[in-house]
Order: sequence, then structure tokens, then C-alpha cells
Amino acid sequence: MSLELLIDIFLGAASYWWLILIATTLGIIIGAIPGFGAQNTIIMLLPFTLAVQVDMALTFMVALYVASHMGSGIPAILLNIPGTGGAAATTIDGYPMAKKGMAQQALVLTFVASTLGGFFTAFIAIFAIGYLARIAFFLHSVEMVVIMLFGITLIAVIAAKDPLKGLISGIIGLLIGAIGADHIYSAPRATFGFLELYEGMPIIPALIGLFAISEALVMLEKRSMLTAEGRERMLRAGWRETLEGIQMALKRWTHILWTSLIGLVVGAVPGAGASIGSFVAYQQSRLYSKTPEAYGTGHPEGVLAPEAANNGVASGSLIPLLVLAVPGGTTAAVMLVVLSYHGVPLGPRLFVEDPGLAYGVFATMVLSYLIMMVTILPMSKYLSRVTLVGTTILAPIIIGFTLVGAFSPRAYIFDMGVALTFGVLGYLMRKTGYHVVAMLIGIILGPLLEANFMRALRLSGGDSMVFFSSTIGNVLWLMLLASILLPLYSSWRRNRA
Amino acid sequence: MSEHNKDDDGDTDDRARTRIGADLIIPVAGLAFAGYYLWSIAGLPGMAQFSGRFLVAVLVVLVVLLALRMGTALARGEAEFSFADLAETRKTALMRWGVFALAIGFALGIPYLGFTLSIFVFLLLSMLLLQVRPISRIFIIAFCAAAVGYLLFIVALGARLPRGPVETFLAGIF
Repeated sequence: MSLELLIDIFLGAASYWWLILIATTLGIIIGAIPGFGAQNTIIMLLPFTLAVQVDMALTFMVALYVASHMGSGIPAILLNIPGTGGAAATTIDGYPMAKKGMAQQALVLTFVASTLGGFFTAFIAIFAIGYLARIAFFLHSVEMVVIMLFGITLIAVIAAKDPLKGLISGIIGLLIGAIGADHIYSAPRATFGFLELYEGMPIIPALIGLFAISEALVMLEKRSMLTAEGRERMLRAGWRETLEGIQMALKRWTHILWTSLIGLVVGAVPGAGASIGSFVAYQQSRLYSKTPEAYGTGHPEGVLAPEAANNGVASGSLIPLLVLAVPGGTTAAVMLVVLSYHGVPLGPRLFVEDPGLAYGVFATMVLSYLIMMVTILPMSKYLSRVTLVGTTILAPIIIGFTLVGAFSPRAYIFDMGVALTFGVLGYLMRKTGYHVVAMLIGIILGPLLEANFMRALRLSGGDSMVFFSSTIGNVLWLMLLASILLPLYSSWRRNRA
Repeated sequence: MSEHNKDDDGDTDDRARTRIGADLIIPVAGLAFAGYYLWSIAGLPGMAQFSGRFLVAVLVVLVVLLALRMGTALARGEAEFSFADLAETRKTALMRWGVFALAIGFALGIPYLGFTLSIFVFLLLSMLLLQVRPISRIFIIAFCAAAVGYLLFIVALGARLPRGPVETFLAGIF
């Protein structure tokens, strides 16, 4: 690509700065409300995106999409409630930071990691889009099974203090994820007779129940979610804390870059998504950390890694859409509908016939991150004040609005019941030392793992050796084995020392 | 083994690693669900049962290991069988489960009252129950939250939320 074309593309995207500003503001808000993901909002705003010019529609959708990825980290830190599955890993270290009165720093870490990670991966995508698109050709069911198993191993990492309970939570999650019609015969399994469960366990209501409802129920035990020391710190907090957060993040800029690359690669694999990308990045970050024991206690790197990856996924998931016309996720699928309506020739032809539009997507991303950096960073000081609100006010607001979020994706009252049921389950889990995050990983990965597992087995005629039949698969197996054995080896060395 | 002081992600407090009992609720519920799952797939062809059977087998092994760990701790006198982890004062129980009951009422009432009115009523009653005072503060918070929700979800986003008398009335005006 020539420099002249690149400048033209950026200038074209910049001419819509006002639209990017509106879309990013809206995106951050909807990303922060569990249940109101970018895909729902783009669907709701279809009359707008279908009516305007295609480049305008695309700019709006892309800016809203990337902003929603960033927004989802806000409630994860402030309230222990991820806005989307992609921010679930952020709760592990983000919320403990908030409880210590470091919500402001944690929010700044999120914003810097998101913008820097997203900015970097969008740039990489512009130049490496052709290569990244080919990733999808090399990853078949067998490789996907190993990638999913990577995700499962995270359960053991997250539940490091009691792996047995973590694994029990994760396996129950996988079993819950296997509810619904089976992938071959479409026979309903464990649906309790509810037609609403035929398509599987809805993830958003499960997430809302496990995180939001249960957190609100636990929250009521205390007047404030902050520790006494944390409250003192929050009351004294000013602009200095924002600068401290920026400093913390910039000191770890290499960490942000390599974890965002994990997100980019995972995002480029159709169907993988932000939930897996952010958890894999968290696990890898912990694996190569000099202080793995600090993870889960409010460690800055535990916030940076999943957030950088979450935004890397945003860049990656648009690559298969543009190059192969295969949507990388649900939001990309909605975008596909809008672009098809406008008659945009997706696939390799797009890069020949209208390279400005194709590369413009990533230019819009870069500009969105720049605009968000300016608009959202100063907000961290005010957003963090949410932690000072009493639990008797916060808990009903959380329950009320997240229940509406559970209803929103499918418009079933049934889904509000699902959220309440998972709320009680999550409450019992928290009170007895089981991990809601491990269960969520199981619920998210369960259907994906099963679908790929069964597909691979069917294609091989039932031969289980198919899982060791590809070179890439075998390399991934070795990496998986290393990610299990390396922490054990490090722990053994530390004990010896 | 359980612990009665732990943070929200299950971090344990070493001082209190003595109570087991409540820890069994999740595994027992998991096993009950696993049993139901197996029953529901009993008539399916072998390949369709494979993943379910595999997961149930792993779950059973893990629960047996947990039970063995608990049994050993009980035998050594390092733990006591108790459900005290779930114990709560009458006031806390009333507040927590009262709000939960109101949430069930909110879910059941939303198709009839619509989003705006039902969230207003839910927030109002919940904060009354949780003894937020003064009462005028409760009204202001509930009203503002319902108004913001209406403007954001229904006016700005056009979300498919249940419409009720308030939405119908406001749609007639604007």
C-alpha cells in the first residue's frame, strides 16, 4: 500500500470525527451495561446504518464496536460485573484493586491498555491483514479443540488457591454449556422442558446472574464495598491517581503490546471471540510473570493483559469479515448484513475495488482509540466515585438494570429467570469458595469445544487419533503442555530456593 | 474445605479453614444436575452421548477427590461439619432475600407495568426495605434512575423492552 493511499484513508476517516465521537460515547455506555452489547445496539440502530452512506455506516459501526469493548471493563472494575464476556477476566484483578481504593488507577490501566492495545493491533492489521486472514485456513476443528483446551486450563490458573474447587466449578460450567440441542442429532439435552433452552444456555443472563446478581446479594452484607483503608484512599483521590495509573500502564507498555497481539490472533479466528482472547492473554501474562502469586490480588498486569487482548480481538475479528466475508463474531455478523445491504463486495474483491473502504475500517479504529484516549481518561476520576456509593443504593440499581440487560438480547422474560437462578447459584458459590469465573469459562467454552470436538471426530470416522494428526495441532498440544508444566516447574524451583 | 471469611472471588482466609458442609452444596447440586443430564441423553446415539458422559465422569472423580479431602480433614480433627458459612443475621437475611423476592416480582411484573414503571417501583420498594433514608432521597433516586433508563433504552436506543402505561402515556405526548 502506498503512503499516499494511507494518508488518503486516514484523512477520509478523520472527516467523520464527529460521528466517531458520538459512536464511541454511545459504545462506551452500552459496553458498560451488561446485556447491551454492540451487536444489539447496531441491530437497534439498523434504520440509521441502512439509511446513510456506506462509509458513514461503517465508521459508525466500527467506532461503536471498539468503544463497547473498552466500556465493558468499567463495571468489571467498579462493581465486579463485566459488561461482556470479554471483560470477565478483568474482574479477577480489577475488582480487588477497586476494593483497595485504587479504582481510579485500575480504570486508567484499562483505558490505556485498551487504547494502546487497540491502536497497535489496528495498525498491525492494516499491514498484515493478508497474512492474518490466512490464520483461519490453518485452524480446523482439531486445532480449535486444542485452543479451547487452552481456555479450560485457565480454570486451574484462576483457581490457583483451590484448584479442585475451581475444576469442579469449571466442569459444572462445561456441563451447563452442553445444555440444548446436540450438534449432530439436534436432540434436546437437559433443557428441563423449556423451549427457551433448546438453543443452549443463554450466556448473557448466565453472566449477569453469576456476576451481577450474586455480587449484589453479597454486597448487602456491608454498608460499603470498599475496605476502610480503601475508602480513605478514595476520599483523598485526585488527579494524581490518574497520572499514577498512566505511569503504571506506560511502564508496562511491552506487556500491553504482546498481550494485545494474542487478542489480534485469537480475534482473527472466526468464532473464537473476546472471551477466549482475554482469558488466554491473562493466563499467558501470569505464566511469564515474575510475580505470578500477585495475580488475583489486584495486580496491574492482571488488568492490562485482558483489556489489551479484549481490544486486540476487536481488530482481529473484523479481518475474516473483510477478507473472507466470514464474520469473526456476532457484531461482525450484523455488520456483514449492513454491508451486504449496501452492496459492498466483501472478500478479496473489496481490497481491489474499494481499498479505501477496506483499510478505512482500521483507520477508523485507530482514530476511535485516539479520540477515546482524550475523552475517557479524565473520566476515570469521576467514574471511580461509584465505589463510594452505599451498597443499599447500588445493589437494587445493579439488580434492576442488569435484569433488564438479561431480557434485552432475546426479549424473553424467561432469561430474567435464568439470571436470577444463576444469581442464587453464584451467591452460594461465592459463600463457599467456588469460582464464578471458572464456571463462566465452562459455560462459554462448553458449546464451542463440543461442536469442534464432535466435528473432528465425525470427519475422522470416530478415530480419536485425529487430534494428534496435524502439525499445527501438535505444536499447540506442546504449548498447552508447557503452559501446564511450566508453572508447576517454577513453583517447584521457588519451593526449593 | 470451606472458609467463612473470603473475598468475592473465593480467596480464602487461612484462619477459618475449619468448616465443611456448605462446601458440599455446589458439588451435590452439580451431581444432581449431572444425573439429570445423563437421564436426558439416555436415548441418544452413542456419539451424541460421548461428551456428556465424559464430563459427568470427570465431575464424579473430582467430587470424590473433594469428599476424600474433606473426610481426611474431619478424621484428623482439622475440620468440623457445619453450614455456618451460610449463616446470616435475621436482618441481613430479610434484606438480601427481600430484595431478591422483589426482583422476582419485578421480572413477573415488567410485562404488565412496562419497563419504566416497574423499575421505578422495584427501586423504590428495594431501597425502602434496605432502610435508605430520608424517604425523599429514595423517591429522587428511583425517579432519576427510571427516567435515565427510559431515555437511554427506549428513546435513544429503541430497545425492545416491555411497554406499559408510562411508555404509552409519554408516546402520546412526544
